[in-house]
Amino acid sequence: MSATVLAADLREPTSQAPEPGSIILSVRDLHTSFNTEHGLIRAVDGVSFDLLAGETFGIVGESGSGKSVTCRSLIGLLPTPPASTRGQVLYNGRNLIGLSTRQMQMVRGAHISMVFQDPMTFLNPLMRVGDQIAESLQAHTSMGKRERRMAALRLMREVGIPIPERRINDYPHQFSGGMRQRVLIAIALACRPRILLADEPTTALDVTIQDQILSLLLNLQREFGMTVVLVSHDLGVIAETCDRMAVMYGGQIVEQGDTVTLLTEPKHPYTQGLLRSLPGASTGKYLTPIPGSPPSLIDPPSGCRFLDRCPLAMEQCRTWHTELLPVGPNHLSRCIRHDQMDSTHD
Amino acid sequence: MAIEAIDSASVPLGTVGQTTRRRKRRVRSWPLLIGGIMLVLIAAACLAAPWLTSYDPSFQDINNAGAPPFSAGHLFGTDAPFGRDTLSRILYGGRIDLLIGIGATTVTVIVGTTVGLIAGYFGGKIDGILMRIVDVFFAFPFLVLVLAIIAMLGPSLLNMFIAIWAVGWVSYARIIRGETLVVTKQEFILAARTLGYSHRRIMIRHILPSVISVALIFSMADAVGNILLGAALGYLGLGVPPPTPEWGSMIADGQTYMVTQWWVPTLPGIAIVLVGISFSLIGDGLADILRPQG
Repeated sequence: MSATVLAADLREPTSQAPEPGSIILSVRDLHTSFNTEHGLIRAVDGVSFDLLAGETFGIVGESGSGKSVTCRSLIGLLPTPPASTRGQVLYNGRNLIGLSTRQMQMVRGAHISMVFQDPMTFLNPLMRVGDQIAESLQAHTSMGKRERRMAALRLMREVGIPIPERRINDYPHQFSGGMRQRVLIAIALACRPRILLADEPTTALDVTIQDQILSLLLNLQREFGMTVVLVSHDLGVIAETCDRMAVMYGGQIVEQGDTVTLLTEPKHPYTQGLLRSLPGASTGKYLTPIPGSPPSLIDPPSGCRFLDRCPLAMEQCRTWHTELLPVGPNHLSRCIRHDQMDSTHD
Repeated sequence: MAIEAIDSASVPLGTVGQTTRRRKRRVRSWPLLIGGIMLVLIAAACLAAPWLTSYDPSFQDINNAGAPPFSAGHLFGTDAPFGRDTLSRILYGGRIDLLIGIGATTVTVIVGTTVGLIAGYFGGKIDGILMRIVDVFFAFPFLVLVLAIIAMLGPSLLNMFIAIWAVGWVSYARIIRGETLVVTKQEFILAARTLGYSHRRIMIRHILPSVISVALIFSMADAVGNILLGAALGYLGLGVPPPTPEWGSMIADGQTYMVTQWWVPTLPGIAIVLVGISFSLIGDGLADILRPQG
């Protein structure tokens, strides 16, 4: 296929919204590894999931579980080398892995956009916020200067920045943390992307602002019919906002399903452990931590990655070639003892 | 709107229109102001040479050779042994020297900054290749390379420019590469990539504004260096060929007469010093303004 055909294909992000509930992005067997002097780090090891149009999909996991790397791999943001990504990320019938730089630039920002954790460092300190919002439109559309400015004002209003006319020429340091996160969201949404990857969008904010930003994201999602991938280490945030979710551990998805099912009937000991370590979620007075620490991702052993920390571990887990097993309707778990989960679930 | 109302209430009565924000006239940097004024005055004097002096810089009056300053018709005296008016030679010569300072430096800043940006942004092989080229240039003394190039091409103003252009960019490439490496790691650059911006857009709109100040500050010192280099080449006879006046060659020609007619080499020397001071002041001032942290 020639490059120009592909370009025309990718240029129009908002041509027609996909039907809600249809598969908009399909990730198949995604592997991302980093070549370091200590060895090959398998940060993402065989991740597969589908994104449905209009849904909010949560990815939860602790630091180093591969959730951020998964997100970044989807749109080829990792520097190669040292990173290398293989697998399939199907969007519009096209594999995003292996697109040329130019083609990828057309996808990013316009089709798939991203909001980051720290609003302090992800804004350019030397550019006025209005210019930063309008720049995305300059890069991806043929809008004129006045049009872009009007669009920037509209976007600022949409993300709840009061009196945008007064703030459009301000610099990022003149904004509070919450307002800066709103600016980041406005930038990410400028081209009305179909998919928004939100990588810990509220982690750097204090709790009251977190709530505002989350509900803003959800409102905008509903308004634009966007698909949101919410990455967080905060199970509470995911539980509140997501339709479906995946739990990541050691670079793999260990459990995946509807948020409600997954949180009420977890079928993987790691998810159980996470739930028991949450305040208010356990019946006992004390929080129950998961003993041990996550495995090294350099040459991980075959068998279950959670083995050393698992209360249900048995000899068979060491040799089992792990895979996601169906444990219920739309519910997958990477545990061979998933049917014995109730014995330890309190 | 409510907030506007509060704001306009705090404005003293009698102010009309929207420009109510008072702008204090405050000098942000004295060195920059003084250096700037000096340089503008010197440049204006050189450009206005035909109106400031009635002598052609090449006009010889052998009978009046070596006339001291303040003698009739010659404010700065005349040179020996030709009797050319020193003032007009300094003013016309200044055109050449300022041209070298500004013209040579502008090109080296642009070329060096571009190379440094590309090397620092892309890194890897591109960086390796570009920086090895820079290393080759750095392996030779600056002056020796310039001399070698001019010796090959033959002395002329253009060849002097070519020599400085060919060699001078390497410092900027190295400085800008270092700064670019730091800025490229910043998260707002990652954000820009996430938005699908092209490499060129990221380099020009997001990295350049953060790194260019170092190049500008250094360029002021470099401009002085290039003027001195031009003078040195003139002194060595590899600069602008005579009889075109140029400060370096004026000093070289005049040094024989240092004891008897001191003004012949001294006055162009003072001119070089003044230009050097004004560029240095501008550089200091720019450093104050563009790099407030130190």
